[in-house]
Amino acid sequence: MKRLFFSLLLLSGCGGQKVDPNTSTETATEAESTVLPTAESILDKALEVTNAKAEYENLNYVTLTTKMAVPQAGIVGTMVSHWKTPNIFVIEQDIPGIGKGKMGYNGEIGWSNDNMMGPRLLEGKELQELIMDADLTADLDYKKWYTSLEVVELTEFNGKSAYKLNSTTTFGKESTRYFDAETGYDLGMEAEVESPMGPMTIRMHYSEWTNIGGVTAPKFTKVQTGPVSMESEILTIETNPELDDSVFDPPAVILELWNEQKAASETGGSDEAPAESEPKAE
Amino acid sequence: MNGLDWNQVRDEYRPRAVDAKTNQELRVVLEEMLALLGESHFGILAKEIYEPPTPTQDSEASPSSNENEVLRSETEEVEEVEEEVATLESETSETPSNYDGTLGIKLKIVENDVYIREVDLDSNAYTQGVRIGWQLTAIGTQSVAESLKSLFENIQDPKEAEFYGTRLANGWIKPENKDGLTLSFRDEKGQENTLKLLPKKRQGTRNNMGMMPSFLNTFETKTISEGKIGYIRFSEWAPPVVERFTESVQNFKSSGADKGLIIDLRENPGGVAALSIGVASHLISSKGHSLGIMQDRTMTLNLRVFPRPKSQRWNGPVVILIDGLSASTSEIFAGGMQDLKEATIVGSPSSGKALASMIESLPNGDRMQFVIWNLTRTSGERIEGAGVTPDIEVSITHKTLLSGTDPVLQTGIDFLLNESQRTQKP
Repeated sequence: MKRLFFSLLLLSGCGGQKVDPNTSTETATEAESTVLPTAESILDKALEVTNAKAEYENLNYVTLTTKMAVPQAGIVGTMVSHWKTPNIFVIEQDIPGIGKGKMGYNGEIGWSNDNMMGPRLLEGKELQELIMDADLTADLDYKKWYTSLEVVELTEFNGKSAYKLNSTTTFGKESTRYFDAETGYDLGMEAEVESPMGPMTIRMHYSEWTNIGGVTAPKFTKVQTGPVSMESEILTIETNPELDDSVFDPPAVILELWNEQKAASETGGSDEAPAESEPKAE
Repeated sequence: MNGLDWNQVRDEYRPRAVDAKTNQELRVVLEEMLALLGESHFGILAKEIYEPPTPTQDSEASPSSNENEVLRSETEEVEEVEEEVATLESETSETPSNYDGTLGIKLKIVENDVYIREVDLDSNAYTQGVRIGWQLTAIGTQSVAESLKSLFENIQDPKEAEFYGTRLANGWIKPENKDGLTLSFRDEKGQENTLKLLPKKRQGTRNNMGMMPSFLNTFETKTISEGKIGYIRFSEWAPPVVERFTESVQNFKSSGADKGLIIDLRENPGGVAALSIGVASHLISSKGHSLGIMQDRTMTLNLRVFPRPKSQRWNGPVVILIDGLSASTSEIFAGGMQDLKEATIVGSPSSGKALASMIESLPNGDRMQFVIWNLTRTSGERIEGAGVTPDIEVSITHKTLLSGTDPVLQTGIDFLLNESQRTQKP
C-alpha cells in the first residue's frame, strides 16, 4: 500500500499539460526501425509533455486527495497527502472498517504509524526509497537520483507501444519504467520495493494523464502486488494550499521511538536481534 | 492444488453446477470441489449473510421460528442469520447490525458430548442456575446427540470433530430474538433441567471489513488474581484489537498488575494477520524478529514485529491460552511468540487452520474465500494441518468442567505466579 501512496506523490511531481499525440516527434514504428532514443531524451520528453518544470516552478506545498480501492477485497478508502518542498511530506489513509494510518518524512525522521502494525521508524533501503519518493522534484532532477538509466527496447506495456527503461538509483534500487512511445507519458513501472515485511514485487500502471488543479498527473493508478490489485483515483490536487507546518510533525509515539533509538546509539547500545531465527535471550 | 488437475475437476463438476436449481444446490457442488483441496480457508459464503432482506422479502430459506427446527446443518445456519436479522428488524427500532443477542453461555464438545464451558455471571442462564459442566441435551425438543450424530459419523478426526461440532453447537444457541431459547441440560447430579433462557445484548464493536461478513467484535480486558495479572480476550483479530491492546497494557502497568499477562485466544478463529504484528509489538523488545512467513510463488514476506517505545511495551511474562478452536491468526501469533520464547502457551493443541486468504464475489451474489498465501512459522514449518502444540498441555474433561473452574486459565495463572521471581525483560 505504501508504494501506491508514494507513486502517487512521485507522479504529481511529473506535472504538465495534456499533449497532442500528433506533436510527438517519434512514432513507435519509426523507433522500431531506427536506433532507440536515449533515456535522457525519454525522461525529458515526459517532463516536457506534462509541462512539469513550469508547473512546479513556484510550488511550495501540495495537497493531494485520492480514493483508493482493493476491489477484490471490497476495500475502499481515502488518502490525503501533503508535501512541502523539497521533500517533507505526510500521508494519512482512512479505510472504513480497517482503520487509519499515517506515514511521513520530516526531513530527518521517516516514520509510519497505523492501527494494525503500530508505530515504527523507517530504516535502510525502505527509508531511502521514502526520501526519494518524498522528493517532489525527483523526476525533474532525475540525474540526482539515478546512477544508471538505459533504454533497452521498444515493447508493449498495458496495451501501448512503450519504451522500456531500466534504472538504478543512487541507493541501488533497480526498476523498469515504461514510457508511451507516441505521447511520451509515463505509463508505469515494475520494481521490487521495500515493505515492512521485506521486498515486494510490484507492477504499476498509470492512465488518463490530465490537469487536475493545475498539476498534470495520471488520474488513475493500478498496482499489482502478487495476487492483490489496488486502484487509486486522484480526486483533487491543491497547489500552495494554506497549511500549518505542524501537519508534518511526527506523532509523539514516533518521537519517543526516535529518542530511544538515539539514546541507544549514543550509549553504544543496540536493540537489534542477533538473527531472525535465533531465540532471544530473556 | 493438492495434486489435482483443477481443469479436470472443473469438467467433472460443471454438469452438476449447471443442473443446480438453487443457490443452495450450487453451493453444495462448489463446497465439494473446494473440499478436494484439503485445506482450510476455502469456502462459499452465502449472499444472504451480506444482504439481509426486509421481513416482507422472499428468501430461499423457509423462515423458522419453531424451536424444534433450530438444529440444522451448518450450511443452513447461513440462512438462519437472514431470518434472525429480519425478525430483529421488526422488533426493534435499531438497525439489525446494532443488535446482537447472546444467552451468555459457551459450549464445548468433550468426548462427543456438548457441555457448558462458560457462563456469564450477568446472564439469565446463570440466574436460573445454569452452571459450567452441565451437558446440553436438547434445544427445544430436538436432541443434541441426534443432531451431532452425522457430524461424528462423517468426521473421524476427534480434533476436527471438536472444531466443527463446537462451532456448530454454539451457532445453534444463538438466539433468534429477545424471546430466547428453551434448552435442556443434564446437571452435575445427572438430573434433567429444561429452562427457557433469555438473551442479553452482546456488547462489542460492529466490524464491516471489505468482503467479510459483518461481525461483532468483543474485547475483554481486566485484572485477575487480586489485580496481579492482566487478562485480555477478544473474539476475532479485527482492527480495534491493537488500539484496545495498547490501552490495556497501559492500564495494567499503571494498576500494578506486575505478575504477568494472559492473552486468551481460545475459540478465537483468527482475522487480519497483520494485527498479530501490532499486538506482538507490545510484547517484544528488540527488532528483527518475525512471527512467521507469508509466501506465494513469487514473494516471501516476513511478519516482522517492530517494538513499541518503552511506555507502550509490556515487560513482564506472557501466557497465551489456546484450544482446538484457536485458528488462523491466533495460531500464527501463538506459534510465533512460542518460537521467539516470548510467551508460554497453555491449553490444548490449536486447530491447524492457518492460511492467508481473500474473499471475492461470485456472479450469483455469493462470495468465495480462497487461499492466496501460504503461512509458515519462521522455521518453515506449516501450521496448517499441524496446529500449535502448547508448552503446557491442559486437557478439558467433563470432570474438570464440573469442578466449576477453568483449569486452562488456572494453569496460566499458577504458571505466572510461580514465575514471579523471573527476571523482568529490559
